[in-house]
Amino acid sequence: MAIECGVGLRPTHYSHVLEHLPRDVDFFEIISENYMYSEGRPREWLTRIREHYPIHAHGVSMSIFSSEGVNIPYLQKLRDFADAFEPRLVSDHACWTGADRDNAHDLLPFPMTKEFLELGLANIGRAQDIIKRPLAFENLSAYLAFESSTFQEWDFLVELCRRSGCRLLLDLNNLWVNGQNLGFDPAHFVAAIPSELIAQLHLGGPTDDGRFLFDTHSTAVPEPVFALLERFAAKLHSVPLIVERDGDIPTFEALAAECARARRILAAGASC
Amino acid sequence: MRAGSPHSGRGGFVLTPAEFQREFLDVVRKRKDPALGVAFRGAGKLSNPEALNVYAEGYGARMFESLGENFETVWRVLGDEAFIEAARAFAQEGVSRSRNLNDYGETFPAFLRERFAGSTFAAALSDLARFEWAFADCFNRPFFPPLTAFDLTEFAGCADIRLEWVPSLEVFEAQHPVQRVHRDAGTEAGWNELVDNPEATVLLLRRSPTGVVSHTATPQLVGLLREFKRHVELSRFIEAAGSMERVSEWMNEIVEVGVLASLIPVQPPSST
Repeated sequence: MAIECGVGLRPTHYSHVLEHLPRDVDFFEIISENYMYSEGRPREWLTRIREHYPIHAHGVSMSIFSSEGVNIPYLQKLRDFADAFEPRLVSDHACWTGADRDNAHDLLPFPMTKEFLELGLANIGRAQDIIKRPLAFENLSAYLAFESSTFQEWDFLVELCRRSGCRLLLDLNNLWVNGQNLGFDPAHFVAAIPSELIAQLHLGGPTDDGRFLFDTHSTAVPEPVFALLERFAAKLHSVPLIVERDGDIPTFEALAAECARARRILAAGASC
Repeated sequence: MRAGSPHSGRGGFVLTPAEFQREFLDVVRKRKDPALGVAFRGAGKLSNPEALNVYAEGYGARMFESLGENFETVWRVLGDEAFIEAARAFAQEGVSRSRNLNDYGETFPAFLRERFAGSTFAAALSDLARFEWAFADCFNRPFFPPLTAFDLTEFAGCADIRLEWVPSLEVFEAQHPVQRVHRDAGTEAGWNELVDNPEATVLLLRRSPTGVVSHTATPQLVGLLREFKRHVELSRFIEAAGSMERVSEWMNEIVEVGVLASLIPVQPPSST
């Protein structure tokens, strides 16, 4: 299978992308909510970029572990957006984001228990029925660990994927951040996930607060994250990958260079 | 117990998912002390309250960032300190009811008016905030190229003609000509002058191919657009104008400000 590497599309790079049509990225990942609620300028940019590149739609507001259930108008809007732009993958996060009438707009953690597993399974089933596509969910970075979790995170996510038909968007940066913050080896996590359940990879970089690593996506991909990718390149080489940046966004060329490095790592893994 | 680390799990999770999420949300929104009804431990060197505070501070920062993006001119004229205080107070009081963070801030103009009531600039500031909100709203509406010329004789034989306005059209009314200080326009002196000299202002906002443009318009045209928000039949238009001379003037102005999207022939009702 071909190696596919892309970057997270951000407005600051629209003009560059359309002017240069860079060939060193294979696809773009977009933030779904930035386009699905707009009929205007953002959508016009995306329409033009979509003429040249495949896209993956990555959301931040599905709140799939919400105890209030799924938000049907949101999912219908996302489905309409997906029907119009035909992303190759629709994904969000394995989290909840608040309440319908009090949204915190954050990717919030929860104890990995049987109750939350059943809640997630029910919500994912409904969401996939409405969106009419299999979904993928990203592993979170978290700043606390619940003593009451009864699953290891990877077991929880594998069970979730196997029983719902969804897949995992494996964020290696989040994994490394959690490993540093919470004291475990992220390699155990990657090793435990069957490769056929991994729909996409994310690479990014956190900010070191001094007391903990803060998942800001505002720095270059750190060496340990590249090292993790390298270690599992043979397993992950056929999984589409993006480099993402949300703060201190560098030039497109800088992002593309990180993307090229990831591509070389995966290529080496493919030849093993 | 560590998230993502091998463990047997203690179970004993006494809160339901709904109860847990209500508690966690109360902490994030600072409605209660940073403590949860479930056992957990903070990441890295964070104490438990500090770990919860990461989420609480993150909420405030995210809402502030969103307001800052939507109200950048308000920020400029208020200055950092006053804007940051106002935005934080708004975020603490107000809730986001939308899955789209870009929707956050619709009531910020009214909040500013109340917060700065008694100051000389409260009304102007509220007008400016409403203008920024309307501008952003227009930006997210579709662009439709306005008609620049037309020939009514092409519609000979039609029972009537429907004049349809461009879908991005917004009639904005204020007590201050705030467009003069919007974004890069204007100076501090200009703002002070505007505050001291209220002047009833009506603007037509609409999408251009690359952004949003605003036009001033005659009160007659504004009255027409207020009454007929999306379209008007030519017969009603002539009736409202009162004379063919005024019809001609209004038509010229409509074309000049670019609000006319299309002319649709209206067929007579079929007799059965």
